[in-house]
Amino acid sequence: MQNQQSNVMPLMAQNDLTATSDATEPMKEKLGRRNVGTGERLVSAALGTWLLSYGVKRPLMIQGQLANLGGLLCLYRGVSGHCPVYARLGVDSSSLGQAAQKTLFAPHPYVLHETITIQKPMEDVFAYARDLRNMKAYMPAISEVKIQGDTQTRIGIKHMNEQNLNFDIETIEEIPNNQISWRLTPLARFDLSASLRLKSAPEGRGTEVQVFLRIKPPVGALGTAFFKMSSPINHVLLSQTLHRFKQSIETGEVATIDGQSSGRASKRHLLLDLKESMAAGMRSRSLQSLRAGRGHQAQNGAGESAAPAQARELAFDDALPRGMDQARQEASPMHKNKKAVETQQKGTVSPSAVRDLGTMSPMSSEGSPL
Amino acid sequence: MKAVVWHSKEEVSVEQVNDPHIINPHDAIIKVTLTSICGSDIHLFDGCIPTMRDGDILGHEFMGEVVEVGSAVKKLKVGDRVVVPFPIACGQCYFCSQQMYSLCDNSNPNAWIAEKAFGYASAGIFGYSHMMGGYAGGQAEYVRVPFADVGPFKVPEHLTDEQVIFLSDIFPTGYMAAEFCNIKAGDVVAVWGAGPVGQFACQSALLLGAAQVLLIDRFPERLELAKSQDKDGRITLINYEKVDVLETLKELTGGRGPDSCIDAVGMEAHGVGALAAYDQAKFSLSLQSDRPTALREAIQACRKGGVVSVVGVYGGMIDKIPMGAIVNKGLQLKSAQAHVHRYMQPLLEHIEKGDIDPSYIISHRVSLDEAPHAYQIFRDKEEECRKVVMKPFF
Repeated sequence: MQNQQSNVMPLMAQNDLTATSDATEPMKEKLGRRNVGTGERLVSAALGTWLLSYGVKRPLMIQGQLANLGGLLCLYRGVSGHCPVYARLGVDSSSLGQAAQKTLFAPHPYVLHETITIQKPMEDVFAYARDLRNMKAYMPAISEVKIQGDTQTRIGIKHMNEQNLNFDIETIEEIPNNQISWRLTPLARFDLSASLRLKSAPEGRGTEVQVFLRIKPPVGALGTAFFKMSSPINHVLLSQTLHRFKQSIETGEVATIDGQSSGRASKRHLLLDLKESMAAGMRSRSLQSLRAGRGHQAQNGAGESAAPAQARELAFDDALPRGMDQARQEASPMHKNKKAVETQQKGTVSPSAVRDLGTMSPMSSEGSPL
Repeated sequence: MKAVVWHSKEEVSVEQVNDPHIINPHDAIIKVTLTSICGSDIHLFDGCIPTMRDGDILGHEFMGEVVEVGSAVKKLKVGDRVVVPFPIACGQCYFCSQQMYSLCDNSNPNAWIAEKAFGYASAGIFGYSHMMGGYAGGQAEYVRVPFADVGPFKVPEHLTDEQVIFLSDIFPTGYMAAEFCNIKAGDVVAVWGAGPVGQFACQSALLLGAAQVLLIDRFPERLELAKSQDKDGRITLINYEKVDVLETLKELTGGRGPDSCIDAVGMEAHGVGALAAYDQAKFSLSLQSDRPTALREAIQACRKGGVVSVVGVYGGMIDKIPMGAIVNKGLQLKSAQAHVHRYMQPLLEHIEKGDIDPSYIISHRVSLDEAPHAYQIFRDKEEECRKVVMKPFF
């Protein structure tokens, strides 16, 4: 219980964006100036001096140049007490920073925040949110939800190779029709908690929903920096999820094009395709002319090469919206009547048309999670 | 089934694709009896709209017969003959409740992309890029229609497909453009573009009581077509290649300027003069996503305190817009993708009363297989192509 409290409080404190931003502004200003502790400044200055003394003797060698650069940075850090890298990471090893637990290896939690208005009364939104079985509708990555008590829920997440990853969610705070918070337990590799706040929107415009996702990665400031860069849990995901949450409450279903008809044959993923096609939209006109001579070659190669780099994102993106009554599809009477789907027979027309190879997403799927 | 598939710029083909099926409980499957190519499809054909993907099925103007409905569909029945509005609306959100259907909050699964481009996302649209939801379009034998109790509009048997199909997009679009103008007795309305939307904007302005409609285009046959529907001589034609538009408009309105101006042209405008050449050059170099030649002229031409109504499709950024003219002349700029659902019933009544027969704009009747050729002649305005309707089944 003690442990729970300590987790709840900072989350709540961070929630109140308007209240904290004013209070912390002057402090940030101060911290921006000097963010290196005294001991560290001495070490830094000494190291800088040594590096410079190494570097100036080797002005024509690469290592000499690098030593000079590093030496100057260290010396600057030592003399001024300000480290630009620390500032970027939000680290502060000065006495002020230590008091505020902002040293390099102290946990550096961060908060993702989104808000949306739902055209339903607060009671409905709250009831829907607190029943975690509804997560399957608005978080399609979740394949299984088991309620295991008043505050404990186990969720299964679809993993790439069909295995389920299981997480336990604990409801840590519940104020009816106002606020509800959860966190992941056991705190596996990182600490993740979520909080939902409801507020009545003006004049029958429904309910304003604010979501705060507080993430505390391991390994201090560096872990946080890495996680921010590479994690699939980001603003886009939060926004998508919130849109689905709203769709599900307002309409009873989640808008999707997953499984619809298309002229794409093989299986590909949404995010990669979208990135390509967005880029394609920007570039197509100018590239069209450049590529005019190349014809239809390499349709399959271009997009695939980018795939490994995107693997993480794609894995997560299995999460895209999908239908809620797929069982019935199979039984569709129309299907039995209609002729079987044939393979693509392309009758391309315009002879002047040239496929924009690098930019188009080749051979996308349908049936693919869109 | 057979469908018109977009591959890349200027490359569409007719292919066998997988059949649609019910995905969500509010879906319906429609067997398409008639579909048409919209002027805005030409923007896709020309590769001007971002977030299209190789393999997307085109088409947002279509009608047909309901062949299957999802478990939560209550009003629509198998066998109903319906026209489907091009924007997909959920019927539940704030915007739907305000009858702003093309701004529906819940129908666009890719809202996050549109939010990046526009700040907030608008409704999903059939066959019109992934930013608009990525829905498979209706230039196909069958199509999946989400929120089937909200969109599909039942039409009476005594009207032909050709008479009612344009309720899906261009007739409401033209009508909304005229409605934006708040037409009062004695008003003069200028319309840029005598394409299908311009034609209906023109006819709608007359229906709404405009004293005079000034129609601006460069193709004599399109201008003449509008004139052919003019029962009481209220339409005046202006060929912008032959006369100076601004001067002519001033002359025709006794120096006041038109009370309202409708841009029914959009992002791929043509024009004459230095600014039009500037737009074309920037567009060709991809420095500008849209060519606002007609819009700019409409703003310049509009009388003080008038309305500039924009229903031509724009997709991105434009420049050299005379903001000074908008502010200092006290203009109102109004625009939207048509809130089609709002207009289907009143416009159907106009058709039933015989006020207008929208089928007059059709110039080509072809089978779905001829779609690629139809796209090309419609874009290049060859064979006097004004509007193509396609039948998937014969």
